[in-house]
Amino acid sequence: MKTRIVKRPQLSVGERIYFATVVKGLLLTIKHFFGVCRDLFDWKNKKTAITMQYPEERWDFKDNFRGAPALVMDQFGREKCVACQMCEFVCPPKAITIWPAEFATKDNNVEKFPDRFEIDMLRCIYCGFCEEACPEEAIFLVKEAELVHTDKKDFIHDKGKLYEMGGIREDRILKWQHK
Amino acid sequence: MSGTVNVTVDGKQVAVPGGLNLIEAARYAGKSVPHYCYHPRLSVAGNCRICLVEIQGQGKLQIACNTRVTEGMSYFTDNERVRKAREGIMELLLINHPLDCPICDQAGECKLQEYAVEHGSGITRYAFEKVRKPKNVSWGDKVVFDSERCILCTRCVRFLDEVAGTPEVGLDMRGEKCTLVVKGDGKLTSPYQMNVIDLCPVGALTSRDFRFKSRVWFMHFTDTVCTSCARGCNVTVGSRGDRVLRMVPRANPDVNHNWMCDHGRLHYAFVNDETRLTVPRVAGKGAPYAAAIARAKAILEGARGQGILAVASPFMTNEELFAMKELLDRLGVEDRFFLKPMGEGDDLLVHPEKCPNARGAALLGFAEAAAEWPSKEYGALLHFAPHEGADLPEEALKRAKRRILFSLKEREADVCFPLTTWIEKDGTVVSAGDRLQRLTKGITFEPTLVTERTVLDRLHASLDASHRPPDTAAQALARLAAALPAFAGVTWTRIGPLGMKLEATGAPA
Repeated sequence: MKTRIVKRPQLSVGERIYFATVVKGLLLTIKHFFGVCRDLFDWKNKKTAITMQYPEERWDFKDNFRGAPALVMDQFGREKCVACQMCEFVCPPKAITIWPAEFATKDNNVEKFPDRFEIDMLRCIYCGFCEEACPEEAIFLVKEAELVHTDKKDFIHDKGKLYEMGGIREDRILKWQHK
Repeated sequence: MSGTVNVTVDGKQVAVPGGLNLIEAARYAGKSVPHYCYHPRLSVAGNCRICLVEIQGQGKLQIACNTRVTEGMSYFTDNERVRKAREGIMELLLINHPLDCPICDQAGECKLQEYAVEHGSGITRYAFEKVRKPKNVSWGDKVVFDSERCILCTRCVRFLDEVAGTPEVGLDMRGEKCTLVVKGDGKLTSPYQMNVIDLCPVGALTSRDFRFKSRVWFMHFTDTVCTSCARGCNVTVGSRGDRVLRMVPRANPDVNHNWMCDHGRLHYAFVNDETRLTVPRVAGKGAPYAAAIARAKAILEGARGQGILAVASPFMTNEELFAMKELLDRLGVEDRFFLKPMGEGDDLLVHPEKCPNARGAALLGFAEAAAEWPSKEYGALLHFAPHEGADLPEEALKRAKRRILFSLKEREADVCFPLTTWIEKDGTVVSAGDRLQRLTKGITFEPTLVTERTVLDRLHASLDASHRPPDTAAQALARLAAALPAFAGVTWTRIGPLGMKLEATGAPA
């Protein structure tokens, strides 16, 4: 292989002394120090401080943030999930388990619902495939990223927990009304 | 018509048996023609129109299912004109088809899905509201009908009429209102009615039993044999998580064609029974296999002078029966019986013997138990309890001082070993007409369970250190074939997935 000789940049005299640069950096630090001191008196309108007072202050996640998966209901408070198990099938770490069941009565037009729906958050990798695969728009990754428990069992989100996290999302199609 | 005729399929010349229709003839050229209403075991209806092919010299496209090959015929199954026609048919069939696939049990094995991908255009031009028809209609306690999904192929109508002999379904109304109806009170009565579920190319007919239990792509499929009666219908068992979820017939022209009875199909609950025995019991307490085998050995050795009664079960495989025979030979046991449960049979498939392997038990030297039991007193009883049907009468049980039982559920005995069911082991059975068929292991009910053959062999080895038991069922069968003339020349691979006739027994077919 042919050797290529790289010419190193030559530092100027001022740069070689580097005193001016040290002063410049120190001034910035002092500026920030006083800036943060000022921010401490009016934290809400802080200008310099970029740290976050964590438990009190939280991130405002963007709408496309991929947090924990959760189930949603439509504006009529109806379960949107029809237990098709597409999310269970597509889930790469096999975190989702669904036990489908059939409605005992035929008064609604939906035939199938998830009797139990569990997501093991210790397995979940927050990939969002479940949301993508869902034909009913029933599962979404919500802005929930802080899952802290002292018991492993608490990481298995059951149907109640998933609906509590997911809440209500407007549904334009409302298939159950038409069929 | 007979003899062979030469036809050209998509430019490829093949010689096919005369009298074949164009769908079957295309198979000889390695071509598959799509079809919904055509079924090789039913009469031709020709109403789905998806099998249209272009025959050279004929102006219009013809349906392949109702056209027979003639000498020198040349037809195209995959040219531009045929593809366009199929696309049109698919579009027509899908106009009113609901988007039920996420909740439809047929999804994954649905011909409509397959052909829509293969032959459909992928879009619909139909901008109007779909026709709504009754959904989730109960056709009795076994079959559920969904009229919206139905493509009116009439396979179910023809099956119930031609094969089951109970013409109870027909088409009603015309045009978009056309739907299937069941005569009388709308409930099917045929004991073979669930075959219409397998026949239905779409999800219009689904099983009440299997409804919503599992999507088909989650299941593990095992080709084995039904053990509900001596017919030994070839089946495919679908399981998930080591529990049996459904059984469907597997085509075998020599045994069950493409059908099976509803009783056999639904007869698997005892496999999934969570209260089954999974560890041996010694005097009513759970014990490891080694301890139970040691106790059984002590009982058998202690009873040698007083005689041993051996009662096998016709639910055992030939290999298990042979392992038992070897053990009994070693112990010098004379009284070997088996209990044969009997019931009702019919002309189509159901056999009056309600067990899979009574013939095998007889071939291996066990005598069918008579109504009267020998009034002898025994030192020990070695008994394989049948899964169901008449068990050993109490008087016979009382004849023996000590009892070694093999049972699905826990029973009172000195030693009680758990039984494994037919889907938990490899083995062979001799079905009706002396047909040797293979059982294949599909599930492991509980990892602790040891199959009966292994228990018998370990018991034998504990009595006789020179006993070298076979490892696999194929090896056990080879040993059995070498020992018994009725099984001469039989090997595991020779039996094959469809079974073989035991010629040496000389029984009529």
